[in-house]
Amino acid sequence: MLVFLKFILTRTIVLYLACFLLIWRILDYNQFIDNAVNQTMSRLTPPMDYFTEFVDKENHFDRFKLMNCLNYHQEVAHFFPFQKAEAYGMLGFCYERLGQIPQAVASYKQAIALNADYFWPYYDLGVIFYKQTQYSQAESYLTQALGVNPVKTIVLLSRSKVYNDVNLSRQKGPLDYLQGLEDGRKEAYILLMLSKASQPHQQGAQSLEQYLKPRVRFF
Amino acid sequence: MSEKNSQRLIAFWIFLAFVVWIFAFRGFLSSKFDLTSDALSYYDHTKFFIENLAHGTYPLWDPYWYYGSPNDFFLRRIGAFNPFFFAILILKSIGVPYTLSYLWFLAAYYLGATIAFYLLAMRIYRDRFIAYAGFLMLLFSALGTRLFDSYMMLVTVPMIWFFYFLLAFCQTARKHFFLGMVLSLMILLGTYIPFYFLICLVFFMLLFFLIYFNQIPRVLGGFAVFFKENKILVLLSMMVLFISLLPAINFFQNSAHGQVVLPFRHGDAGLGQTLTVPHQTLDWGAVEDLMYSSYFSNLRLYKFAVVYVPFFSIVLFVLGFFGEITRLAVFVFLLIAALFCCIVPHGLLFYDFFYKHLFFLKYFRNLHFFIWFFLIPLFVLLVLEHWKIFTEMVRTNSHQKKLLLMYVFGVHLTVFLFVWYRNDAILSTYVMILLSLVFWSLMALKLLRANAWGFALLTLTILVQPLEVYHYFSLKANPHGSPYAYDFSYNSFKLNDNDPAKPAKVPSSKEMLYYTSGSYNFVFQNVSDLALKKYLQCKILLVDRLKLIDRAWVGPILQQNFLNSDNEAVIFDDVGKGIKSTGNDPHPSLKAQHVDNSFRGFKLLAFDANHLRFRLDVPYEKFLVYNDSYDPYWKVSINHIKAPLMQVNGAFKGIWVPAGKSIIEFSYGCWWQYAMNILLSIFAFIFLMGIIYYACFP
Repeated sequence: MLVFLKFILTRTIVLYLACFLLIWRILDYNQFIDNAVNQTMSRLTPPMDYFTEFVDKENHFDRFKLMNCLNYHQEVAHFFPFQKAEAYGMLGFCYERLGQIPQAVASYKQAIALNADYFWPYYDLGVIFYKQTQYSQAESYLTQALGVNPVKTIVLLSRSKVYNDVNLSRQKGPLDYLQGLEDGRKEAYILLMLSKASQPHQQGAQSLEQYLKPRVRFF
Repeated sequence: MSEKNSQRLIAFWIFLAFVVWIFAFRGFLSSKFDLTSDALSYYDHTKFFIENLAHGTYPLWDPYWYYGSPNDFFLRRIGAFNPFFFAILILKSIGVPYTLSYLWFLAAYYLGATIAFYLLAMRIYRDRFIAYAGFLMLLFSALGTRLFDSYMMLVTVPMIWFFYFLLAFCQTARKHFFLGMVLSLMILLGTYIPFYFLICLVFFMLLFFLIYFNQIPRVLGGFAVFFKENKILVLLSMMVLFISLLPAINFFQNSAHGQVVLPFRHGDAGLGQTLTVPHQTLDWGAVEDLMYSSYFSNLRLYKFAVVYVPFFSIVLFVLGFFGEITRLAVFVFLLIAALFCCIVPHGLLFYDFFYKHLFFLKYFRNLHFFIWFFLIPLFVLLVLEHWKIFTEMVRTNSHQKKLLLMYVFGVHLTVFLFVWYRNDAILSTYVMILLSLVFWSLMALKLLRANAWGFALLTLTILVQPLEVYHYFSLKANPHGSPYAYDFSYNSFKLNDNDPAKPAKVPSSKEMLYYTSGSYNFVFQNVSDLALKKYLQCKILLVDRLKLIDRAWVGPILQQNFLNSDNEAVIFDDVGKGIKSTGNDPHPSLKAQHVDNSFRGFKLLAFDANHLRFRLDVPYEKFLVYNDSYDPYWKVSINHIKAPLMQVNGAFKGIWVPAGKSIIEFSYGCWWQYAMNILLSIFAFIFLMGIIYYACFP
């Protein structure tokens, strides 16, 4: 028994664990972590021009900048529970632009799970499924999007730091959330009709689709 | 393998590793990519120092930094006694452009530190394989990236050499080890903030006394014998070490008197010493640096200031977890833990306690630098100790060998699953894990030897990941476009300061200046940028009147004066009493007279960092304003006769000039300042030569 005990106590990992536990005992965890999280998040916030990848560009994205934004929003989702839904919404958007559709879908679904009164993830899922010609899924999400109380989405967006950071970086000035939502709802309605018809190759639907150019959005 | 062959083999692999390192950073080392952040400033001030030395001037004043500032601060920052800076001069003299000379010097200097680390590891482990692995892990750690965005190397390199020489001296008390210690200490103590190193040294000594108490009599006995045999050398070295502290103390005193200020750094730290830093600047510390780095676990995003050591070190660290603990592991681990705990200002009590009771903790910030200066090399050392711990687990019994193989496999599987679960690893991480599995399995079976194949496998295993990481790192680097600030023709005297290509020295909006003379900062903060910019376009002015003003009211009056180019200079009434206030021109003009290229009575005779000599021919007595910051160490002479120098227009130098032809000479500094700096540089050089001599001819 003594030999075994001696064997255990002379392992390097035991020293490390003992030291770790001792530090943990005297550590004020809240003070320790609060400062670290705030400082780190502040430094991690991508420069304004990184966010313009969201708002001002439709094509030719800078992959590196988008990946930075993606990581930033992952950290926001990790550290700030009160902004989790919007952070997941943004994550979905980044993934979609990076061509990682399954991750985008998962992120949008996560955003919905966190806040069911958030219009854009429903809308974006509708667009993704519509583009994939999965019309019944698209129809389901677009119907849910139109069922969301618009006031709640506006309140969510207006209070969100995540949205504020992105919107402030827009070169042409900040967007009007209300106008954006109104346009989004109109487009959701048209897409819903198209999905219901389930025949986007028909001439009428094609012209509508050409007019609409469905794309994911976050406001 | 014979010792000679073994040495040749290791020299080859070290050389090869360095070639690979150069390849990984070829963009930076060929100046294709920009230096950034602090590295820029160090590049500029090193250039200024080296170029002045090349022209026979020891630059104690920098006339280009915010209209003149004492250069002592920058000399302390770069560690001006460092004899290795002469390598830049040598490269320049054979025709290599300064930028490349500087970058290659940095690379070689860094390689020197990694070689010192190898030698240190050899002294500890007496095993080339282990020492070489330590060399590789350190060389390809993130320390190397900091050559191009920071100044870490100027502390890390002499620090590693110091500990190597210290250990070597403790083992065998030889003269070159002693001189090596002295030279490293000289370089470290000559910096304006030697406290990083001193803290580490204190912890090192405390823990050494605690853990290696039974070795102390032997070590001290060796020191005593060496001292008895080399009294003169030891006393001379101690004296030089003491003198090397004097420039830093002098700088400290100058800053205490307000001759130089660091507003940006000082912030709202209170009215005390300008070198003090406010507590909130400590908010970014080691924990924050590590948390920030953890965000870059997707190494495709790797960039400057992200802590990174080749992932092989983690595998090795885990491998040693279940080995028997050693005294060295305890020592290194406790040193890391103690240093880490004492530099965390939030959540642990130690730092606040020390901040309150140790005066020098108020003088430096950037506590996260401890990671780069000490914790990375210490971590690599700890990992090497884990290697040793692991090798002691290796047995000859086949059953035990099987168990060990299973353990190796289990560790690698755990690491693999961890990496796979995170879902963001780069391909080379998986390759490294596979190669590491092969390597450690062979080690467990005692099938791997320190021969060419062994070194090749080890090199490949360690380097495969950092090479991919630094590839991504280079992709994000900024291409080198415009010249750096001191790449302009800075060693010439210009009467007009309106070169459109040169960076503006008056910032476009009010900001906290990083470092400047106290007098310039006073004017900068009290006069609008527009007025200051207009006024400072001309280097030398002639006026006919002096106006005495209370310091409290000087701002608006200077503003008016600068905007209108009034024919008068402003002088503080508390220093200007009894001074002649008007010249003898019967028809003075309304505006100040600008001495520019069209002014016929001016002829430049000599100019360098510390001097300005010119001939001036004026028909009447005039007051000359030289728009270069005032400092008490400046002196002026007219026709070789010393004259009183005045602080005019808030920040600048002024003097009454008689009618007719005069030779005016401004000069900076006292003889002892030059003597001290030059003497220390000479001693550093002598010590370096001594190290080489005694190493070659023991």
